[in-house]
Amino acid sequence: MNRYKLLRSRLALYGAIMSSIVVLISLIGPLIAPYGSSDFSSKLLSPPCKNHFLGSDDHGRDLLSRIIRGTRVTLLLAITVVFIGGAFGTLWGIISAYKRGIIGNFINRSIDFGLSFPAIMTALFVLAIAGTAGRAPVIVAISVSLAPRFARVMHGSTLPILEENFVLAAKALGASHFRVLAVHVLPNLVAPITVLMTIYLPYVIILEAALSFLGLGAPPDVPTWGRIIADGKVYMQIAPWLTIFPGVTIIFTALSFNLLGDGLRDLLDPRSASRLYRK
Amino acid sequence: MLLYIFRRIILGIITIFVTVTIVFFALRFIPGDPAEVWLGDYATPELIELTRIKWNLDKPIWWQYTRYMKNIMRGDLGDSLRMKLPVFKLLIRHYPFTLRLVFLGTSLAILIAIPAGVAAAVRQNSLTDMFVMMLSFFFISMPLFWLGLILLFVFSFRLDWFPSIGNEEGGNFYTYFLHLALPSICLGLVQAGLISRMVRSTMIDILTKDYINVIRSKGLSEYVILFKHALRNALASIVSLIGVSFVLSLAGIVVLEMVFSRPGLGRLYVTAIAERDYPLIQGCILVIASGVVLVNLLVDISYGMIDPRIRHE
Repeated sequence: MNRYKLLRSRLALYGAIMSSIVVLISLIGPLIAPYGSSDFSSKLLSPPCKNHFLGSDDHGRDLLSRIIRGTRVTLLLAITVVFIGGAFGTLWGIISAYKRGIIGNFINRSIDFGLSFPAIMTALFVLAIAGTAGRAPVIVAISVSLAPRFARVMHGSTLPILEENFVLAAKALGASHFRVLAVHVLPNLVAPITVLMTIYLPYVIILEAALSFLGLGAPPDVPTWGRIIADGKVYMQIAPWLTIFPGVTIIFTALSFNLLGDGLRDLLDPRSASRLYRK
Repeated sequence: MLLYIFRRIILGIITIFVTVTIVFFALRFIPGDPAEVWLGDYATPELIELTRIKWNLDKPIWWQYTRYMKNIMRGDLGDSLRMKLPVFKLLIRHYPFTLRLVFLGTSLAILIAIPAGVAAAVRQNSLTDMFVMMLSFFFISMPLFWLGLILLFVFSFRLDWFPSIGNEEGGNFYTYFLHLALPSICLGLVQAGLISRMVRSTMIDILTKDYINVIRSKGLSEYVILFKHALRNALASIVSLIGVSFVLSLAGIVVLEMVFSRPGLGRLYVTAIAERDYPLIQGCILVIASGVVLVNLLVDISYGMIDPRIRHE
């Protein structure tokens, strides 16, 4: 057990370090990128070489610089989606656990309903309604797919909290529903919420990449990693590096946040969470 | 038991019904005029009006809805806007490709994940366990379509082991294998990554239960404990994992059919979305929802057969 726990916590440490690297790059990206964002060199579709460390694309843009710039864009997009989808999902889950009776049951079923479709299909459907122009539809679409997943976990996490004595005490003292939820329930959900957000960040990044691959993700002027892969996929046979390297970046980032999230979950294990409850 | 099955069937039908209804109204409550969206660049006021009349968009929405529902009962799912063919025909023509891939991908995933998860659980904290965990981490951090592209590039473009275009229609077993191998492996590997972790945690839960300790202290061999007792209890969870795996496959289908150019439902759905082909979108969702409901139904029924506690709830 000790050996494994050590490895697990070391993996989590690696995850933390890797995630920090990614965040750092997203912050200082434009400073360390070898080429500017409008630097079109004359070497089109060149494989990795002296001037272009990861090669260049069909417009002569350096792939490394493009990927570095894409870090900030992709991360911002993913964080936005996780926050929006997470906020709605958390609210949904809390309310479904709090409301007893027919309404609560109905809301619970609606979570299952939202969950029964693969995320990408729900996202595509929302895009059919919201249109594909601009960044907003993508954010809305992925948030809508994400919300039920948050809601399901939040529902499960809220139920035991509602059985706690301090909740009953608050209600007995006449606290309003809002107060009970905001002051007593929500602070105790910070742990699972943080873990979920960390775990779903890579999920969102990959989902956005898939949507961009299908041509329905970020608009062409927004260089998310998914977009970079989508742009390069046409040249797969002659310039495979255009798809390989952005994919590797996605794997690196996803791995780092997955490891970090797993580590966080071990740390904030719900089984020992009773001692973490705040009154 | 029959009552249990009956209730599940009714629930399934209601789910499909609700899904189709929500999809129908969601598509029509967008801001803007559907007719204008469909016509795109050709939208002149006269043409818009003609389109509205042709597709009954000027009628009250309840009228449209009841008409659509009645048509579904008769098997008429409308005509695809862009392809001018009946939606039903399109679905029939394209679903086998998806079905084959889903079946193969799910089977492969289960075949990999269950032994891997069980091995990891039994030899917990060992090298095997860490190996399985690392691999699964690796595969779930990977975009499915990227893996497909890489596999396609390596094994199809460069090594020429598998064909990159065409599909397996009307061929023999060998043709099927050639065309289905790469996408199935792709789908299977990534899904296995997800499922093996669930198998592992289920098995760990069971293996730490008291009754396992009891029969172990009674002197039964580890082999017997594992296969006769532990796995039997895990069977229910494993069966429900098949349902989960199926839904995950559907997600994978959507991108993989684009990567490997397979004319299945996933590609049909994406094309319909891109072209705002409402009847086709509704038809695809109907089929997919029915598939999900059917699989969940089968899983629930097996669940009831395996675990007597469930059917008497």
